[in-house]
Parts: sequence; C-alpha cells; structure tokens
Amino acid sequence: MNNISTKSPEELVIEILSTGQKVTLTRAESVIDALAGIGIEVPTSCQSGLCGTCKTRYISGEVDHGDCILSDEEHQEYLTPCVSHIKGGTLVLDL
Amino acid sequence: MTSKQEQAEKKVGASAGSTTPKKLVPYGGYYTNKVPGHDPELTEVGPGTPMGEYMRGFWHPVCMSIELTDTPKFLTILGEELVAFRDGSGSVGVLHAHCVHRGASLEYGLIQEHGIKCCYHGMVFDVDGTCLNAPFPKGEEAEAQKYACSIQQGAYKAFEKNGLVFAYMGAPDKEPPFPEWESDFTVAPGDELVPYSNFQHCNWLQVQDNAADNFHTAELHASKNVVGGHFQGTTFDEVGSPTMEVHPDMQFVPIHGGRGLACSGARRVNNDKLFIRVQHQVLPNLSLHAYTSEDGSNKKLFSRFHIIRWTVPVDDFNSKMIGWRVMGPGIDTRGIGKKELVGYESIDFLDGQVALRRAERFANHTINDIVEIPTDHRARSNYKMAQYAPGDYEAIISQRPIAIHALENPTKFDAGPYLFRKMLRDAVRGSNPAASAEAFSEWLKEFNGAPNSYCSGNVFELPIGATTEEEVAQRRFVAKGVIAILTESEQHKGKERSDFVKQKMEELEQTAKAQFKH
Repeated sequence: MNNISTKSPEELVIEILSTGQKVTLTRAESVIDALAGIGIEVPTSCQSGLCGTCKTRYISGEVDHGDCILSDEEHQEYLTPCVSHIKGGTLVLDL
Repeated sequence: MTSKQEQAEKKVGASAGSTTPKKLVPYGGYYTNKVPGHDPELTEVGPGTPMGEYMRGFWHPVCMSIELTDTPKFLTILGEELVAFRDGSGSVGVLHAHCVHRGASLEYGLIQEHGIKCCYHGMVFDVDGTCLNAPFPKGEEAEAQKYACSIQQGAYKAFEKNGLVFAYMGAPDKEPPFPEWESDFTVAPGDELVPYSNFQHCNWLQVQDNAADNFHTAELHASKNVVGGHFQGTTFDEVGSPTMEVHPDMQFVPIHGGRGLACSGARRVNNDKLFIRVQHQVLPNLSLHAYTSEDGSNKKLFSRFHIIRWTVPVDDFNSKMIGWRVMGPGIDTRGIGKKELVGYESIDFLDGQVALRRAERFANHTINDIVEIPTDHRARSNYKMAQYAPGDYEAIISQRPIAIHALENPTKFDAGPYLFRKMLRDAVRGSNPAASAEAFSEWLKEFNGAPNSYCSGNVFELPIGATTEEEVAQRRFVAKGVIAILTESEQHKGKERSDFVKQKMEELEQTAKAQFKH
C-alpha cells in the first residue's frame, strides 16, 4: 500500500497475494518490470516468452499474454511476466 | 508444456529465494544429469498419434522420381513401411510394403504393366491396392476371383511432379488439393524446379525448427567458426554471400489464420543497402526460402522462391528434406547455382547438409546415382573434418535423435521455431480450428489450390541510420512494413500483385528515407 506509485492515470494495478503489496503500471510496461520496481525479482531466462522460467500463477485480472508457449487453457491460470501486460483493472499474482 | 523436471527445478529456485538454483550451480552437472522425455505431441508421427494424424491430412513428397527404377523402392514414411514404383503403364504406386496375403515385402515384387506382383505367392495389386489377380490352379479361377475381391493392399494416391513423387496418406474422403503455391511456385520463365532429397538422421521437428531458425546462419555458417582454416564450403563467406553471416533482426508474424509464419529478417548489406529476407513457413512441414545467395549488390524488390522444401518424417528418428531448388537466371541473379550438385543426397548452396560431404558423395558417383547413406555420424571417415567445419547436418542431428524441448534454454532469437511449434500445437489440438487439416484443405480450395506466399528477397536502397538506435528503428520499420505490404497484397494475384507489392515497397523505401536520420 505504501508502494503505490502514480505512473498512470489508467490505474492498472498488480497485487501480490501473499503480502497485499500493490504497484501501478502502464499498459506498455511489462509485469516483470513493474515487479522489479518494487523489489520483487521473478527468475527469468529468455525474456521473450519462450522458456517458461518466469511462469507465474495469477488469481484474477485481465492479461495480455504475448508468450509463445502456454496453451489457451494455461493462460487462464498462468502468465509469463517477462512479456505479459495488464489489459485492465487489478492483476492478483500468486507470489 | 512444463515437464516434471522443470517444475521441480522451479520449486527449488523459488523456495530457495536467495540461494542459487541447482541448475545454475558451477560444476553442478550432477544436478542436471537426468534426461527427461521428448515431446510426443509434436514429434511422434506414427499412425494414430496426434501429429501423425495431422500430417496425414497433407500431401508430402516421399521420394525422388530417380528412385523409381525397375525394382520397387522400399520407403518408410510417417513410420509406415511402403514400396513405391512406376508400373509399365506409367502409373505410380505407393503401397504398404507387406503383402496383405501373408506379409512378404513387395520390395521383392515384380513390377507389372499394371501394378505389382508379390514375389511369394504371386498376388498382383494395382496402384490403388485392388487385387488384380490371385494365381490359383487351373479350374479354380472363380474362387481366385472371389478371393481377389476380398482383399485390398493398403495404397495411397500418388503422382509425380518435377522429379518428385508425392503421396497423400490420409483418409481418401478428406483428400486436400495439392497446393500449387502461387500457381507455378513462382518459377520465372527460363528457370526450373530441380528436385533434391537430403536424409537427416533425427526427428523431423528439429529439421523444421532449423528452417525457422534464421539466427543460426550467422554462427554455424560463418567462416570465423571454422577450426584451423579447414574450410569445406560450409560457410556463406566461402560462397560469397557474407550478408547471410550478419545477425538478422527478425520479425515473426503468424499469417494466413495461423496456417503459416512469416519470418522477416533485416540484414545490413553496406552503408547504402538494407536486405530484407522473408521466409515463409507453412504448417505442418513446408518452408519457402528466398534467394540464398544474395550479396545485396543491387536493389531488388519481390524476388521469389529459391528453395521449396518439405521436411518429411521417415519415422520418429529419421526424416528427409525433400523439395526443389529453383534454378536459372531469373532467381539466381548472381549465376552461381550448380545444378550438378542438386539431387539425391546433395544440394549446392552449402556443404554439410547431409551425412556425406561432397568429396565422399562424388568420389565414385554422379548426381544421378542413388548412393548409400552412412547411418552413424561418428563412424564416418571424415568425422574429424566435420568437427572442424560442421554444417546443418551435424548441428541438427546431434541435438539427439529426438531433441528434448524440456532441456532447452531458448533466447529471444529462438522465437521463430518456438512460435512455429506453438502454431503446430494449436493446429494438432484444435485450439486454432483454422489450422486443422480439414480447414486448411478448405482454405486451399478457396484459392483453387494456389495460394499466395509471403516468401520474398528484397534489397532496399536505404542508408544506414545516423545512430545505432536510428538504424535499429529503421530496419524494424522496414521488416514489418514488408510483411504489412504482403498482407495487403493478398487480395491480388499474379502480375497484378507483383506490381502492387513492388510499388508499395518503393513507397516504403521513400517513407523510411524521410522518417529516419541518416
């Protein structure tokens, strides 16, 4: 809650399930960069949605995926933060 | 998608937090010494497998015409044992190898005026599998006829085109049109389709992966990586196409409703010219390659196919690159193609494409000979020379008999093969209905079996950007622009389309000149 930055008027928000921590971001900003901004380092490797190293579960939110590996079914529950963006509202990550 | 090993590794990595994941421990090979299984969904092609069924919905080349002689040709395709032959009437037969009577292989059969006769008990089968004769003793002809009508040898529809034998191995009622890309495979007047077949001792998918892997050319095919000056014609420098040794800046765009992938690569030729090469990959196993010998010396817009290639699975552990090299002054503007090197177990563009290097391939044989193919790459007499200057063959087949995706650590430059694999998966699973074999067939029918292709080679007169940033922005703008033009041109056909594309590319060049600082 102390971590809310005011980068965007769109109010796109990531919420960390375990801590309740929140961060706002723009549509152009990737989830991984926004997380890094509040000190949360998710391991990555290819940084382009190919390897699945950063694959993370999410509870709710609208995600613009952009990876090359997850199936439509997996997209309902997982995202690759390295190439994913938020479409709208709040993305709750199982971290 | 994620293997158990991957998940386990991830748990270790995640829970450890600040500690090093096991797979990153120095001298920690011990932690990564277990080899998980391959991805059966995309790699296995036998009857009844998901990919095998998908593949059977398309026409594939199965061998070269010169392989059809006065004795039947034994083939394995998609894990099925087959014989191919041309009977006395000129019809081509592709039949299950084992006689439906008692299993002797028809490769020992006698080719007839119509069909083939099994060596064992003399049953004769026509090219469609119909039993034409069962040699019963005199006086039992009626029973012979009755018996013949009760059996059918497994057969597949086949035909010859420009030196290749094509077969359709799916259900007869779902036969798709044979895709005549651009109606003539873009062969210019005076040019010709020259057939070739290159055997690969590995699973089909890693061979197909290599086609969409436009990044490897700058390393595997670069003279800087040849050991101790032992050059063997495996690099683009040696054949005078140094532009292919430049790392390309790639844009990958799924096209045609997810039935194909356009791979648009930008390479700087010199301070004045930018080369944009668009390769077109078509599901499941076709790739259309633009001019492979481009030196970028002259402006060139919408040059077309130079290689038309199918990666045909033999079985799960072997495959063949079969297709045509387009040869002649129309496509080969530098006039460096060598027809005498294009054929069975050989192709002219780089050495190292097959198990035999040219020195061995042509030691006692010509291009018209069906040579014996070494099966163990390490047992080859020139193994050490191959280590000095490895080619595509060595790189691809040494990824294991079936490459294990779960052990790969891709970089962003592997996006081509990864996207293509995803498109294959979506097609096989039905999550992209447009790419199903049936929908693909319907799509082909919409174009009378002759769809347009994105494949093109283009050299623009575009000066290098004033800064690295400008240059990167410019080359991406042009690479994407070319794809957009090709998409826009889909509504046109033939010369009208060609004129449209060239006009739009001229405009793109002008726009880029005006938009970026040089």
